[in-house]
Amino acid sequence: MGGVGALATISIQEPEHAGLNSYTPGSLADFDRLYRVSFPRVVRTLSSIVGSQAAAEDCAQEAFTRALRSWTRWHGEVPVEAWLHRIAVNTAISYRRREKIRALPSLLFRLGAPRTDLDPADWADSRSLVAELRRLPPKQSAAIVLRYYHGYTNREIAAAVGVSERTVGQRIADALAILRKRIELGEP
Amino acid sequence: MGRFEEHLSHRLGYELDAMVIRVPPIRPDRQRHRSLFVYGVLSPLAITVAATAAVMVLASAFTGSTNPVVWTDPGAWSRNTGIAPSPSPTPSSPNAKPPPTPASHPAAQQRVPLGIRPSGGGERESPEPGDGGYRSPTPSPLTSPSPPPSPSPSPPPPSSGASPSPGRDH
Repeated sequence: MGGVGALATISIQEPEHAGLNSYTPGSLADFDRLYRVSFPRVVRTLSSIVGSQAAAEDCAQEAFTRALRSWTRWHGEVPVEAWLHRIAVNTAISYRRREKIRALPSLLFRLGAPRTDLDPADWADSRSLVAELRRLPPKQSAAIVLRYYHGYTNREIAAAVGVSERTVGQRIADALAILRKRIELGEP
Repeated sequence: MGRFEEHLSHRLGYELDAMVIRVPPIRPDRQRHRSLFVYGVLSPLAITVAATAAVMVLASAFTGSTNPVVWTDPGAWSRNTGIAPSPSPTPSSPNAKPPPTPASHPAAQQRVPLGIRPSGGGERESPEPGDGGYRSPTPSPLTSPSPPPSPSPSPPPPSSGASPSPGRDH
């Protein structure tokens, strides 16, 4: 990825989108193009954080609305998609927090009863990895997806989400430990 | 990357790439954003401009002039609205017209009894020669700036310490 200048046209080499690699901050046409290119990727990231694909699409829409408002403030210090993911992950975290509060009364009501809120398809014999990621804390699942699906390095993830590289490494290590226990060893 | 991590990466790519995602149009959101701009920024500006224009129209209607300098003159407002300004403690200028005194001020009329003419030179304000009637209690602008002398020798004028008229020595 290359960045030239702060306010000039930023040349960003997105590995999967050769040719669509320049975005001008503040340009609505460029934001339109960025939206069409990045929306599916952002939805896939958020699907691992929130409870369903529909919720992920809602969060992605809200994230792009927020990104549009602050489009002029992106100056290429981080890759544009990483910048988008930061906004999207924060949106998803807020969504999960609201969902948790909203589900609290029903949770108390069925205390002790078996969980039935998960999609039955996620509880097949080959348990879905995405379903497992949804059970993780949102910051850990976001770090896993950014690292092992989008291919960002720990340094890029740290710059994208605004934390230290060490924090990113710790989150990934904790998430891998939990996933290993659940997937390989079959522990809940 | 260890074996588990490789397996994780492969499986995650398989599951996420299998998702069918439709990209909805962004234009309705942008129109909402534009509406936010219109109602959040432009409308307060429009209200401010409209309020300023209304004040300007009212000021020019009350003062009869479109010159903003005239709007700041309190006299311009009183001349056109007929509302007398509050009485000033300082003497008015000799060339200024006295404000019209409302007729419903019996206390003011009692200060100057009927038939008593103020001493001192200068032109009288009232043109009638035999006016034994109503007389304005306020001093004429053409006389001395001191208030009119008291008609009786003993009570001094209430507004200032002016000496009584020499012709009133009873």
